[in-house]
Amino acid sequence: MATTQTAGVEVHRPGVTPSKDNYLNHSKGLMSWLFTLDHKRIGVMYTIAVLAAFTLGGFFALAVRTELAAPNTGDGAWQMLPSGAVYNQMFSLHGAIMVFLFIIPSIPAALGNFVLPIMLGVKDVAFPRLNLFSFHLWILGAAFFLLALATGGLDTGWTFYTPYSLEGHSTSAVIAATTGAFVLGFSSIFTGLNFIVTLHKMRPTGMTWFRMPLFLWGLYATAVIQVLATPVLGITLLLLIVERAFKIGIFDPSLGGDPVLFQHFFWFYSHPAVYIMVLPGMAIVSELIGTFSRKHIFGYRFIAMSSVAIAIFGFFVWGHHMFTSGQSALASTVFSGLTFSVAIPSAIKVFNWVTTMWKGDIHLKTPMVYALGFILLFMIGGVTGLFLGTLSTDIHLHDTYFIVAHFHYVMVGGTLWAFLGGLHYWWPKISGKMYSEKVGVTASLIALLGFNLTFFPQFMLGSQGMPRRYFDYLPEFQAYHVWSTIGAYVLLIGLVMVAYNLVMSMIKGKQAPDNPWGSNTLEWKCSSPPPHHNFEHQPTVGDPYDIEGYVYEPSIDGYVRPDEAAVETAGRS
Amino acid sequence: MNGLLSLALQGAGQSFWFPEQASTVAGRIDAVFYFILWVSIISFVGVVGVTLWFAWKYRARPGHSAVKTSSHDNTLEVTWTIIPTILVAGMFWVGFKGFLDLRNAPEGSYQVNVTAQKWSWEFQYPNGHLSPELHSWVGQPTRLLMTSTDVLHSLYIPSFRVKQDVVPGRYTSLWWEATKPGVYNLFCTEYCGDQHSAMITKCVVHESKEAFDAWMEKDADIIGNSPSLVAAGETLYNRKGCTQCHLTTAETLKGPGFLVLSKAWADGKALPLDGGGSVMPDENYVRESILVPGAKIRDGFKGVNMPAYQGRIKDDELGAISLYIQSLATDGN
Amino acid sequence: MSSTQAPPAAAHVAHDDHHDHPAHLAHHFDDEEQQFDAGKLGIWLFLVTEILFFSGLFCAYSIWRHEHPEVFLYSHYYLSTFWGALNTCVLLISSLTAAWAVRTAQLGDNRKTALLLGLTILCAFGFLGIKSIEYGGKFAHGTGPGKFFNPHPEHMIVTAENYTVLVGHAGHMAEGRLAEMQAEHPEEFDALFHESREHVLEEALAAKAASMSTEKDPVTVADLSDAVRAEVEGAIDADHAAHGHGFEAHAAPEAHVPGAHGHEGDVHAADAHESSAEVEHSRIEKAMLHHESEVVLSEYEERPASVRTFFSIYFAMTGLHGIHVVAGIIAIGWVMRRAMRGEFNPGYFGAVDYVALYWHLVDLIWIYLFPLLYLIH
Repeated sequence: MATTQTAGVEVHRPGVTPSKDNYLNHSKGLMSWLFTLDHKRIGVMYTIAVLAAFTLGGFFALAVRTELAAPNTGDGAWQMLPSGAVYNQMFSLHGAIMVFLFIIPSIPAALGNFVLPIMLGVKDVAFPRLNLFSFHLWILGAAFFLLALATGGLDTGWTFYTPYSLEGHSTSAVIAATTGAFVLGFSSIFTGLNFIVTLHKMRPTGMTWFRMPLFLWGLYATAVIQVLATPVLGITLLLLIVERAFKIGIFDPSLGGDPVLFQHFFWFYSHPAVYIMVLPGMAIVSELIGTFSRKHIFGYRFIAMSSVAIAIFGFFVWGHHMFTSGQSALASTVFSGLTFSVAIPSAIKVFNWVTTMWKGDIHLKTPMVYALGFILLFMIGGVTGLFLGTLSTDIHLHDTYFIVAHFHYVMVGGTLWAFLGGLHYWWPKISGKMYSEKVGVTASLIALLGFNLTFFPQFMLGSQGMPRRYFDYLPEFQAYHVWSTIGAYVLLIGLVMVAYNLVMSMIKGKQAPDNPWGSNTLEWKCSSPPPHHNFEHQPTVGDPYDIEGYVYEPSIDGYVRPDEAAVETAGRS
Repeated sequence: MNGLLSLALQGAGQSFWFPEQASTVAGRIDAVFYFILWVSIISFVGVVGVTLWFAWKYRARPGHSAVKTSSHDNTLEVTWTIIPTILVAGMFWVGFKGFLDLRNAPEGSYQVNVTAQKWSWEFQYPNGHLSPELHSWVGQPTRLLMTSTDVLHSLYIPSFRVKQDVVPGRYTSLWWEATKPGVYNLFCTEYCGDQHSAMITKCVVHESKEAFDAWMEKDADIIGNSPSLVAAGETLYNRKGCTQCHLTTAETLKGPGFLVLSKAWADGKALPLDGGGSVMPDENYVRESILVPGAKIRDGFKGVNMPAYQGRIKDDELGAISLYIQSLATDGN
Repeated sequence: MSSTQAPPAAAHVAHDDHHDHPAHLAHHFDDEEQQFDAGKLGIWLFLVTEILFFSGLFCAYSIWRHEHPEVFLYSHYYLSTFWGALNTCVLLISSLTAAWAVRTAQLGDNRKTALLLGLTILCAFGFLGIKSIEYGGKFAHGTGPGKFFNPHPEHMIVTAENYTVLVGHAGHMAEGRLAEMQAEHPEEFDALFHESREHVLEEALAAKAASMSTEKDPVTVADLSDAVRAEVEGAIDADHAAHGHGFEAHAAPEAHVPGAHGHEGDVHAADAHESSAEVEHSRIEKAMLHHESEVVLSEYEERPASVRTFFSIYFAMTGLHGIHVVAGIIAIGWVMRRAMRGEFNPGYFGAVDYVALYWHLVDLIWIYLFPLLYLIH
């Protein structure tokens, strides 16, 4: 494929020649990365940073699972960690790191930052400096978490429930961790604010709201939650810090405070935060299902609007975390009713995805395998949520392993699977290299197996009555724990393979074509990796899911659109 | 897998999902659970089954290509909005009804007051008797009025399907009516610190009121029921929550091991105190340390904050505990 | 936090740009209008997050006030309405100058803009100065937040509920001084005060309480005891000068102490019926007899519980607001510097507009805080 001249403009044809000038080699040196204003570089730095956090959080998870392989006393007893106190720090840090440092920023801040402006057809987010500042805040927040780790460890659980968090072992660790979460909250707010303004004010000509790809709709709904819910977490954590430092008596019952008030404040943020985690995941799956089924997405408007609906409903359901807390029966009843409202838009999404696959031409590439894994895991995570939204069954299941299993299915099965799916989907664009499909698919399936092996037995553990956050347990629960621990190591193998595959692709992967999957969203209309300014010429905006016109071109191992070649003018010349 | 699974299912009346049903509400709650479970299984099999079937049937292969179909259908959207709405409304309703059963204790319930503290439970019966295990009898609605002296706890008896957080500074309650005599696990399910997983006790359901009364009579008289004062002291050591923090060896758990004290007592040696000074171990030191633990804190145990037993233990019981501790150095050590 | 959020639209992008862009237009915006609109939406969203941030505190405030209305009523007497109102005025003026600065920036008058922003900053510092006077008083009187809450009885405020106990304590404090005076000037004292010292005290106290009730400031125990000394000393001086006048109380008949209602005020009025005065006399005497200061302290705990929480909420809300004022000073200082460099013109004045919006919000929050904390009825 050569380049051709049309009307005096050098037209880029999707090819395999690496572009001379792209965002990766545009400028050099560590500082050109750490202080870049380029959303793509910020996205890449976020990706590296959140994966580092994931690794650390995963290490704590393995420590916890290994400890739980057997009870501490009796036949076949096993105790790896020196004490309950150390165990408590392990699970607390696992939860706090995974939630605040990995899951919440994973899709919006890492992939979202990279993809959003290109997908929208603009050069950058509205406020590039604020974007960089968000990333620096993330680093600062992470530093506070490391400080918490260094100063005696955090043992409050990621929820910081009062009054335990006011009298636990280490004041400095609790203050460091809550300060970290506070700072990360602002990082999240600024990212959300940036995205909302970008989507409102920077959409190029032709990019109407209903021509926006569903990923952008998902990020938009997510950003609304980030902006509206996170400040409440901020003030809550600030009050907690002040309470711990000065004993002001707002949450501390020994000073006349109300510990349940803390739970209300905390969940007012942290329940919507669940949708910060899962909405962008759903949005990625919406992109993947259509592309790899070679079909136009089914029910575009319903999927888009269901994201918004989930974001709105998500604000009114926080009390379902507190059915056993001592809140009034009326409040519990109302919250239970509202909770079910969230199930409906979630179900709508799933039905639309499945219908999209109907009569398609389904390519089981790595991203699609993750998308299907997402549907499977999210279905389990979703339907087990029904048991917990239902008042009478929640009383039995609350604070048991059933909850642990449920939220891991939603947060890991949801967010992590979508994140990995998205990472593999956009990897050719991000890195400019193709990874091994064989390793990618195998790793995905091993991880899926390991994940289910880890967490499915925990449903039974919970309904049988095993409480969560237990360092030791009664021997009758051991069988499930053994399976769960084995599963954790299988999951580890899968994830190590993922890492291996992506690292190897950078070393010896093939040059990626502009459009390896035949998708019609705008990020595939620039070269891989994209040029510094994303587009040399404004791409024409059309229906983002109009993919029938794309034809696979074996010579470049990518897709081209013969009828619209001239449109795909991009950065390389 | 079978071996391990069946190991997990050992125990009378246990099913795949639940421990045995031992309260009047358990059956109803399980029925709600199974209703949701079957709705979930059917939805799951439906959705995932169709997904996998499509993934196979429409798999990309030479000669196969996608068929352009309509990309929206409002009838379909409305249908799959309404059906889940009806299903979840049903779930809400049955869950709500079961919840009302759980919340409202019937008139004439037998009330037991519960005090939770790190990391033990204390149950006080209407006659004032305290026990570390919860006792009641079959057919008697039993109501717990609970509070905590320190952090949040949560009282959970899986076989009864009941659970309620225990909150410092206020009272919470829960109730049940047991249907089967037996001994059931009682857990703390709200994370409360180092020994959270050891905050487990038993709920004993007697066959009848008579059996319960017989137990009460016997249990209330620990000293009278023991062959010796030392043995009574040992029973008290086990019952009064001492075991959570003190071992009878020289090892430190949360508080100092009793053997250290016992040996010093036997040898007439003083024990160093926090902030300088020392104390000569004797009956009065033991007594004071139980009633007002903060009075003399042993070196290295500052900030442990043992709860005070003032008003919660009788004089002759203090004497028995004192004798028991004294006996540790001489008996077999 | 807020210092850093300042007008995001001002992002001057470092990497290479299109040549047809004016210097103040960031490369990724199409035109000035888009840049301005983006900044405007950005700052509005930011203000929404700020409101939500404060909403947590307002929520805590509502819950506590709903649960303990008497605590709020009692505690608000500790806050000086005068300083609060003055601060409200200062902030309103600063909002005006900020709004004016936006207008001048829009007209491209950078000099005037810088001047007006300077005035705004001046007002902001004025606000902080007044606030620090108030805070200083709080800490001096032991009504600080949380663990700094340890008020001495003499700084407690007299209300209907605690009148008896407190007046007793005030008398106790004054009594020592009176005894000294009696020792110094036995003749004058005896000539002056035919009745018992206690009765003199009672009258002086009632007089002071009555006269003070017409003032806006709340009456503290220390105020009462000072008043008693002053009255007695004044009477003695007058006696020295004129030889012959007896001590006279000059209280209004309808006198009240703040928060006292109905009969209480009448009882303490100097010219109240003899029987009432006697009852009160014996009450005060009784209180004085066994009011060793420790006793007073322990009885003093009878002030409404959770007063501590009120001050915690007061400090949390005003403190957080104060931090926002500091952030505002930094942000305004930043745009002022830019105005001094002449950076603004009719096509580019967003930064001034955004900072002013932020400043209006800070002002608005105070407008809510002032009545919620200072003007409780």
